[in-house]
Amino acid sequence: MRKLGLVGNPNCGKSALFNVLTDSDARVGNWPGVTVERKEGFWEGGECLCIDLPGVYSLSPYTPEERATVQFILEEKPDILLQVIDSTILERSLFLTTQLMELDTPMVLALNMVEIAKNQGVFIDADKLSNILGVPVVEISAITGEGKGELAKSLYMAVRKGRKGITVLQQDQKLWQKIQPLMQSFLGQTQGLFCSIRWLERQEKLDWEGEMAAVRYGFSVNCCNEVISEKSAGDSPTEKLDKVFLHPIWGIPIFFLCMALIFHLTFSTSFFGTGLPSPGVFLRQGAEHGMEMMRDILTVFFPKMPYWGRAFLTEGIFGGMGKAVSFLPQILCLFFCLTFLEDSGYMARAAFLFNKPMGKLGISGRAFLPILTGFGCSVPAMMSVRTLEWEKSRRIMRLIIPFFSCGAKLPLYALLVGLLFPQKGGVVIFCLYCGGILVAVFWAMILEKKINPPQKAPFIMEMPLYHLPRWNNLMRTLGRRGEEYLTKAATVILGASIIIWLAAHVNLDFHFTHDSGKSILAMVGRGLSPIFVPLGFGGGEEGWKASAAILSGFAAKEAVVSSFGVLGGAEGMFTPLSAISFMVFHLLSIPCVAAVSAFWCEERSGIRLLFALCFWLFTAWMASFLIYQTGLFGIAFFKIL
Amino acid sequence: METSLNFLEEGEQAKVVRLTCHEELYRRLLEMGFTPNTHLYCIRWAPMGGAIEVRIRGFSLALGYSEAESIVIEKGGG
Repeated sequence: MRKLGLVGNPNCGKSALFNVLTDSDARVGNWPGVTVERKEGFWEGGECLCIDLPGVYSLSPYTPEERATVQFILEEKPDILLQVIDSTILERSLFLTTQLMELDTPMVLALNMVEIAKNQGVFIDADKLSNILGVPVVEISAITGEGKGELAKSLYMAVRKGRKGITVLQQDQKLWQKIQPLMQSFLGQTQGLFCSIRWLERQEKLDWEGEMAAVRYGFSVNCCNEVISEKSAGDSPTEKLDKVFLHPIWGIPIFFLCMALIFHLTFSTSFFGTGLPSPGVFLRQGAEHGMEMMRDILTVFFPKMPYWGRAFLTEGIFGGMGKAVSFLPQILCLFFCLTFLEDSGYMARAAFLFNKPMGKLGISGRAFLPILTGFGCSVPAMMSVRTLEWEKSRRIMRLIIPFFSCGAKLPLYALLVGLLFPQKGGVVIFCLYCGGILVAVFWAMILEKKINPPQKAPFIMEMPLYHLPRWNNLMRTLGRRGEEYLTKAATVILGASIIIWLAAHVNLDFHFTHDSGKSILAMVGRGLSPIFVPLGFGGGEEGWKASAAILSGFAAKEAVVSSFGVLGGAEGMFTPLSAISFMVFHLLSIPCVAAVSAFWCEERSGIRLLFALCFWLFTAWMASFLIYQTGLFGIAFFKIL
Repeated sequence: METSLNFLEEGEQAKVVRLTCHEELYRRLLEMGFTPNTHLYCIRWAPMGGAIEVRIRGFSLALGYSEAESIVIEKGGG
């Protein structure tokens, strides 16, 4: 089978094209650097294995995920390369083309986003471009898949014809004189021309790199002059929108307004003060009713079930896993909003707005994407940290990512807030999220000083054009998120629910007991209580339930809620203050097993892992301790007054 | 007169003279098309002056303040 590598600049639509060709659902976003890992899929129409690679601006890349792309080309020897080009940025895209042309691998150019370019008044003559470059050029649409057939044909032809690398550096006498003898020494090797140029580029004494870039861009400019006919267009929609969203005064307030609106939409029980539930709360209530109905139906259908069987079903399965599942619609509601913003291109603007404050933390505005991903799930967030330029920023980010409250932590907030702060739900949860961010900021400032070397993270980022998020893409992201959540519910959370239920109903002699206070779990919980009592929970007759629930959170954060469902203890266990302390501990402590193993995969160092675990635990304990004790003091103080 | 990109104000045009940074940053700026004599103009500065958005080679690029410092430009032109 033939191997087809998809290459191109970041955010040029490679993944979208990959999805269209192979009918898969790789993550797509309007942000340079969404793809951090290669993905494979079979394209039936083209009869080849497609490999979607992280975007690169050139073949002398410098972040780990960009290096992966070059490594793929050189080591895995794809049969053909398809360069996807954002037609609105032809000039810069051709810079990469001039480097790809030096390879002996057959290639085809795919002009994507032709419509958008036309709307901007840019018309590209594909045939002329093909003549100049000596490479087939095809117009395609990565959204609709238009031009797929044409593309398959030219790919087929290109592979049959084969290819010998050529270089535009030939146009420069001085460079060409340098390259020619090098080629002799690389003679017979695969990719000889490419390797000799790479070798010359790395010679540090003279600035060949700069000269080469100048020649390449010179070629690109001439090429564009030949093939582009421009008609003047007015202010593009992007420019008009940026005048508002990047306004020197209003830009930042608008950002916070957007965020507050999203939280109001998801968590408020009184939507815009009407007393009606917001869409997010409405969805959750619906799901809860659905779960209760299912439980009732099951108990009606099996009326003769023995007592323990019934208890296991209603408390263990529905109380535990069912509880966690009923929060899914609300979580999806939050993700819908965040994905909408990311897809539209707004999040890249947020990175621009906040570069200065973030620079002070040793990370750049680019860290916005990992952070945003972190609000969804810490695992992909740990992975997307790879797109940052400095190892230092990457290390800081990996440590603080768990403080950006992930979706799995949300059910617990929703549960406790519903019980203890029914009127102020949205506000409390918003404060928790902000609190997590503040803790992250606090630690980043310290880590920035402690981790060597003391250099600043660079910020270079393309501002993508705004576009209206596509419904398909939004639904696909949500579908994937829902699927992940349900899979987790059916495996880890179900398992944890069963274990918790059993441990809560079996005593030390391994007999079933009705008094869960004498169960194994209660013993364990009480054993842990001394750690948690200063934080305001874990003490008293029922307190072991809170300790046990926190413990189950290491399997999966949703399991904390399912544990409460199984143990039936959340009502009446907390005061408002201890509930907040509990939520803060839940937010900041060690993330779930999956996130910890993602951390391990990226760092590969036992000492750093141990440090991280202690770091998270310490942060959570200290924060909860301070909040609870200060709160107690405050309450006592007001009572005296 | 030569100056660096961080002195370019909103709406002003300039052309690139040379880059004073090294290694990775240098390479990345070259990739983005900051070769000598390239025209660019400043679209805007971020609030608090932490980053500049420039238009170069037909696209918009955001650069941090210290990255802008390392790009020597000559104002004017068009």
